[in-house]
Amino acid sequence: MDNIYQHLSELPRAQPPEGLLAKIEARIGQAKVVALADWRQFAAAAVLITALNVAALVQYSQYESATFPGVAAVDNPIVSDYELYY
Amino acid sequence: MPQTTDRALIAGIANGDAQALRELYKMHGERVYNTALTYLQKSTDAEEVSQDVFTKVWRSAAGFKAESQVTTWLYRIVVNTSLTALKKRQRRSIFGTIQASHDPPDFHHPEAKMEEREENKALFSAIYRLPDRQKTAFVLSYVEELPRQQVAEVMGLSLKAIEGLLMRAKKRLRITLRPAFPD
Repeated sequence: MDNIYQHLSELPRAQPPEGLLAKIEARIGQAKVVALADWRQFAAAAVLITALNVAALVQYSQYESATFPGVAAVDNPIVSDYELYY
Repeated sequence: MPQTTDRALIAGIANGDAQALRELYKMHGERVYNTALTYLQKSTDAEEVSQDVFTKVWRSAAGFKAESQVTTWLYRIVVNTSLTALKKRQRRSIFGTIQASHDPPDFHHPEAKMEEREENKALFSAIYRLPDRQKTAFVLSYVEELPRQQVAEVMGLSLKAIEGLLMRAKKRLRITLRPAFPD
């Protein structure tokens, strides 16, 4: 066992690969860009959802007023000719 | 005063100073890479873990607590990141993405002398097979040659617990390595 410890203590450190620091810096840079992109995407998604909701509400209210106008405005002969028979 | 320098560098990194990160890498990059290499025993994986470690340092430098040494903090990050990478590898091995025969990898330390490569391979393979806590205590004590107190701080355990882990690790290694190191 003493040989093992001696072997380990005599072992020089391995050199990290040449471009390791550049890769670390690139990853950190990417992390920043991704974070920014995430924020922008989140904002864009929020705007899109709001716009879609507004559009849906506008369209719904237009559809409502076109399909179900006020009862007084309906010119319905069945209703106007309606009579009750006892 | 390396501690003062280390702390100044961490403070710089916390303020987004890229030059401080370069300096920290210059001082500790080799240490981080070699520790990861001992755990993962594959240079590409050790490189990947080193990238993760320095990215984590960059992100969490502001949260560094000055009561521990920077090297202790760095070792804690590299040990945890390496163990996580090993677990991922074991999961891939279970699901058949990598061949089980490559776990442990066929590894000898790149700086091992030609005539010692077989012994070196057996030794690193035996270290790889140790349970996580025994492995960490052994790697930090005998490969990284940290003082026992610092090993205890990195692992968040008492000195007595570290001695116990080392005793069990050495016993296990002795049994595994008897054929390769008959003396």
